[in-house]
Amino acid sequence: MNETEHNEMNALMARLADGDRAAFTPVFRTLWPKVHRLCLQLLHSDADADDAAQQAMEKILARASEYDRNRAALPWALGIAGWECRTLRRRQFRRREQSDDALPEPPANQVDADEALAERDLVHAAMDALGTLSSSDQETLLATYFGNGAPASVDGATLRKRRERALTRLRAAFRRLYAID
Amino acid sequence: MRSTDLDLLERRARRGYERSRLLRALVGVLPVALLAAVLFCLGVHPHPQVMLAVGAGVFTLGAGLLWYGRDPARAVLPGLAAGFLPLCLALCTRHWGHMCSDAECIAMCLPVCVVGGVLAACVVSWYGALRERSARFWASASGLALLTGAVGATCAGYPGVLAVTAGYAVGFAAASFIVRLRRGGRRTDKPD
Repeated sequence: MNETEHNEMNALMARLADGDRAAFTPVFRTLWPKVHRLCLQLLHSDADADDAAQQAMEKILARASEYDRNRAALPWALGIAGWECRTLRRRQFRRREQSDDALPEPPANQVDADEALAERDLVHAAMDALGTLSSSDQETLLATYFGNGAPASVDGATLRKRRERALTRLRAAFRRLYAID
Repeated sequence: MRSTDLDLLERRARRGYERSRLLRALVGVLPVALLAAVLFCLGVHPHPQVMLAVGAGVFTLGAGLLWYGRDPARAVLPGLAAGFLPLCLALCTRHWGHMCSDAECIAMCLPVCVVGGVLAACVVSWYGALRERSARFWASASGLALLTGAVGATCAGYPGVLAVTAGYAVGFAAASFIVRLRRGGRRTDKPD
């Protein structure tokens, strides 16, 4: 989505928040594929993604009047969708826990499967955010967390400052993409 | 998802949107209901049933405007604030408003209703001109201000309501004339 589309989305959402019903269908048609894609990425299942995306769309549009026009519309909507995915996954996990009460304890690696899945999603999201940074920021962060080796010309203090700046930009990018910290 | 499912989802989402707007609108005009309840409990109005009926009208109109959105929704606050002036003036005058001399005693209810109407029109005109609102704003704010003012003006019966309306009409006409004059003056001041 380029900047023009972002601005159009913001304008449409602001109109809907203001009570302009003519903006409802365009907002719905623009948001649906994006929300569905995010749910599919987070849940890895068509059926679950459909459920979560439907719930998310209803919530987003029910809360459209609360939309703050100073914020970007898409991250706000995707934040609600992300939260919906998380709720669905937790609900499924709890249901599975309840139904498994009568069964013998599962192996330890199965118990951690959901946590591993959630962690993998977070890493994917962080990598997406990392992709939006400049190459020097990416290099600094990869050197810090994956040990790709710091540039030889950089001393410790400079690297530390660069790392702080890169982390700040990564947080901002993450917030912009997913509307969550 | 098939397109029929998407249509169903869109309709469901639309219902949710309207429901949430309505709920927010009702919460928004809740202070009006509280005010009417307080006035009813204090017994400051000689015709409590009439006051409650007109108050219910204010509540419904306010909720409807907030639910609709756009300029009519933006007219709710200035409309209520403007209507509050004749309401308070009329209720206060009912208790203290007699101008008595040795020869005669004049009830001030009707003159005060007229003054309240003029003041309400000034508030609505000032706010509307300041923000350069549409005709829908003017109509919504005027309707709400008059109805709110009528809650107090019913103290003096139907003549009170007529007095507020007449005052509002005079004030509105005068304010509109002044606004038009100032706009015309500003246009001619502009360099070519």
